[in-house]
Amino acid sequence: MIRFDISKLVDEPRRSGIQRVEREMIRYWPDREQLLPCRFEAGEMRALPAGILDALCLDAPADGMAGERARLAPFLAAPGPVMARGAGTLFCAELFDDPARAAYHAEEAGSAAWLVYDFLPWLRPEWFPAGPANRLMPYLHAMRAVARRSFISAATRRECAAVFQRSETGPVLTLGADGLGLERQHFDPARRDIVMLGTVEARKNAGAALGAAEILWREGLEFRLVLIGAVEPDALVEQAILRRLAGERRLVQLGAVPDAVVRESLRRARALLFPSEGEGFGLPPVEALYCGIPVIVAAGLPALEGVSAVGQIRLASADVEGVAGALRTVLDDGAAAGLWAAAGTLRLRTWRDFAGDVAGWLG
Amino acid sequence: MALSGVRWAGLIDSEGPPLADALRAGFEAVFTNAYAAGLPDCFVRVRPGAGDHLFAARLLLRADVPSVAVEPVEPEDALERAVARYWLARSLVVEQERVWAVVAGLIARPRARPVGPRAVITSGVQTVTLLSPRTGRAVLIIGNRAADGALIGLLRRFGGDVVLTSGCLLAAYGNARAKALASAELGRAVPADELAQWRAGIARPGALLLGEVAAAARALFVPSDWVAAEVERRYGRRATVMPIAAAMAPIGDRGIAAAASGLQAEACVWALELLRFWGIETEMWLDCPAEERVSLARLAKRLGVSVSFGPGIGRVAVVLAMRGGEAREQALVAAAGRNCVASQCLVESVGAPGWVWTVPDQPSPPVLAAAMRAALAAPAPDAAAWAALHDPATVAARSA
Repeated sequence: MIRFDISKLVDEPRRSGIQRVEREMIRYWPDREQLLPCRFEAGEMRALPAGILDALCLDAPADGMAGERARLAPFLAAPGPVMARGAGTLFCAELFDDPARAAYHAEEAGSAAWLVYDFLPWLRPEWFPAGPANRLMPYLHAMRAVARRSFISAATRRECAAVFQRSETGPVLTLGADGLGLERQHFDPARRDIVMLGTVEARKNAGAALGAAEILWREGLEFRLVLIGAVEPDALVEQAILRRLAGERRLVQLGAVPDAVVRESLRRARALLFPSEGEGFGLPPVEALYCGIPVIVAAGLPALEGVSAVGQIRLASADVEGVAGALRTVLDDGAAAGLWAAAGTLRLRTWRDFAGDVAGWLG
Repeated sequence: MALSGVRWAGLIDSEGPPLADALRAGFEAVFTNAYAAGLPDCFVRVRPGAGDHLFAARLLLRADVPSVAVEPVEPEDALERAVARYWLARSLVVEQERVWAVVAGLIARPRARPVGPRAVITSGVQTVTLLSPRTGRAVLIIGNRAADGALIGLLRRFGGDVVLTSGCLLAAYGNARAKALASAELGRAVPADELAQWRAGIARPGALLLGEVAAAARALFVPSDWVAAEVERRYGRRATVMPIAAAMAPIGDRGIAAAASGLQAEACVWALELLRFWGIETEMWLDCPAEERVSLARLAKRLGVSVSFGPGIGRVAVVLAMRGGEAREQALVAAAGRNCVASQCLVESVGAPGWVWTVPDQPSPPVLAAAMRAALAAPAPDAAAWAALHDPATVAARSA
């Protein structure tokens, strides 16, 4: 029996990366009867109706998160029974800042098992607004106590060892690459879009991407740079560049869009550009590769550690010059065709694999 | 006890303790401004703040100022030894007997015949002083303090030379003016919430707000090469680097003194707990705003770590200075000689030496803890060159 703490998923539903992991895990869990969904309420872990798991696996509603909340509301109307402490495994795959909830997990440390995403708010605080690193300290405090930890990447496991100053032996459970729902793509020289997927902020290196695009446009190369993702309020440098480029027809800013729009954009993409140097995993490149689309990534992207480097340009230096050089390569038809052919040979983990890995780990 | 024939002049800070009537009665005359009303026999500033040491050191270069007494925040024996005429009180000036005794001793020393004052050098200058015909030249010491906003106004009105003690003057301006200046400096509208984030230490200020001072100052002195470069880049103004003058505080053998506020102060407490988890037992003196102490003490108690409140710079082996407060640059300078951890903007602002562990302006507890661990484990740095550079007498000589 696995008490599956999904408090934030049901209380604050959103289509974030972490909640995507939770939803896919539930969707592909080998034996859903094992899972006892629960949420932390008033100092106790309370059971949720099993039917809520099915509701969480549905596609994103057309009316956004309001629709999501409406769909979940009937399951949350009445408080569920208090779950017995110490009964089976208490599993959590969320990042949260509720000190009481953290204390509960710490008290249940012997039976608790966590999936850990990354340590970036603590190790690279300059990438984030001030505040979360402190607010999340109770979570980090509890993580220390939890008996079993697994990690979404080897990089995260190394970070954990560095923060806690002790060796970490928990398994790396690789995330699935097939969540986009996009059919296999094929190279066509008419594809001239470079798609960049992710929030626009300093750690994602959007500034380098924009700077590189400007250089190549000045050189006369014709392509569109398609930015998908919200612009972070504190991304002042990137905002300044975007203001300067306002009116540039070759720059397409889509903002935060549904998966359907992402799929549509990737159907026109020659490559996915993802020069981020601040990731716990970095899902978009493996999702693009899964569909056969080459990627330009920063070397050391956790998601690609241990994966064959074919179909990729891994940037030793993800700066303007580095990105510009990689873009020149993918905009060359011959080189691009080679990258596409190689990308098609990759075999990546799926969400079903991932859910099976988690279930196997929890026993 | 009265000191017949002795006049006492000093700057009276309206926020400081009132001058006791009995003390006033002990002097032939008491002037609340050192330069507006004749020649002082002894200069006393009731409540010192940023720039005092520089101020005092400059005064001591003058033949017409026989002695200087300053009530220090910290005991600083080194300065007292280095400058014979500099007396550092160990308690409030209003403890009359001690003040009288020291003043009497100072006056009894041989000194040069006073001549009329030629300059005004103060961090608390008043309009009347600037307008006085006895004022030959005004030097204003301006730092990142709300109180110094008035100085900037006087500077713009009457002119003068400026010694900046900080690389950012956000705290010296009210919201409306800061917003206007920041927008002009950055070439875009700076919204109120962004400004609020700067003030709260949530985000590093994108604008330094030195433009008015750079435009109005006749001669401009700044505390580091970085500030000089930024002043030239942002405002097209050349500035002369003049290190902040501060005496090196005595070095203790254990513990950490942290100067921080808000989120950074909270991070310090969490970092102390993380150090303990790593097997490093230490204690911390936390210099933070009084209104934050209750919640921080509660957090420390919950985490089971030892935190005392107040400045502990003279007791500890490691000093941690974070952005966001007043006079943090001075604290960092005075802390040299032991291992220091400081936020990026402070390091840049004072041009801190290589032995300082630099952390982001909004550090996380693990980042702070890692820097503290390294600082606690490292041998004390050789700070002779740094101390000499910032020695008040040296700075005063350079500025003269």
